[in-house]
Amino acid sequence: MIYSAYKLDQVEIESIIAKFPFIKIENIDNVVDKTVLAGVVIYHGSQVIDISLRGRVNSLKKKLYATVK
Amino acid sequence: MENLGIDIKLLIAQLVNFVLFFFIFKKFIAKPFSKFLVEEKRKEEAKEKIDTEVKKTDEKLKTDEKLFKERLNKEKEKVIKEAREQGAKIKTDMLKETEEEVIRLKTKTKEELDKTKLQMEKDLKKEIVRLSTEIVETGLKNYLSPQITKELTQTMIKNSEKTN
Repeated sequence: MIYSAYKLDQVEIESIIAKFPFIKIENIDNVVDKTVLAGVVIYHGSQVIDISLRGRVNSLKKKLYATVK
Repeated sequence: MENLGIDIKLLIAQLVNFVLFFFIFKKFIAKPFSKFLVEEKRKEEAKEKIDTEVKKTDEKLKTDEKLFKERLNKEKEKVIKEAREQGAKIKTDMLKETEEEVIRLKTKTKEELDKTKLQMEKDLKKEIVRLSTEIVETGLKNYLSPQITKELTQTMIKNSEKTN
């Protein structure tokens, strides 16, 4: 399952498969989720690969919260 | 004697009479009277003695009273002095206790204030982080046009590490 801010085209899906060969093209289900902002979030079994802008923002948010504590 | 007009018989009778009178007077009048006088004198002396004793007792009482008053005054002054000292000590102790309580309260308040300040600072920083990230997210949403989103997505996929 791949979440993205817009429907990915074939080239983009192939470039994802090239980067992550364990993902089989027949298992790919592209879901549009505007909250992703940009990039993609890949759910593969129990594994989550977050290469989205939302993930970056969340990571930044966690780092900032960590400095506050 | 008769020529002198003195009657011997009468003289003898008068003498007898006088002696009788003397004995009767001595026995029944002079003696009781004398006894009475002696008794009166004795009573008078006893009275004087009692008066003297009363006077002495009175003087002694007055002296004792004076001494007692002096002692009482001294005791009173001592008690007042002790009470004043005790009062001053209680006052000092209370002041000391109050000062300690004030210091304790001040310290406690300062600690609480510091704690609250620290917590407020933390809350403020959290709020700043939350607002900042919200602003960033909103800014990004407004900034990201479909074209930019597409380009950015492609760049992110391209720059991601390859995983087997």
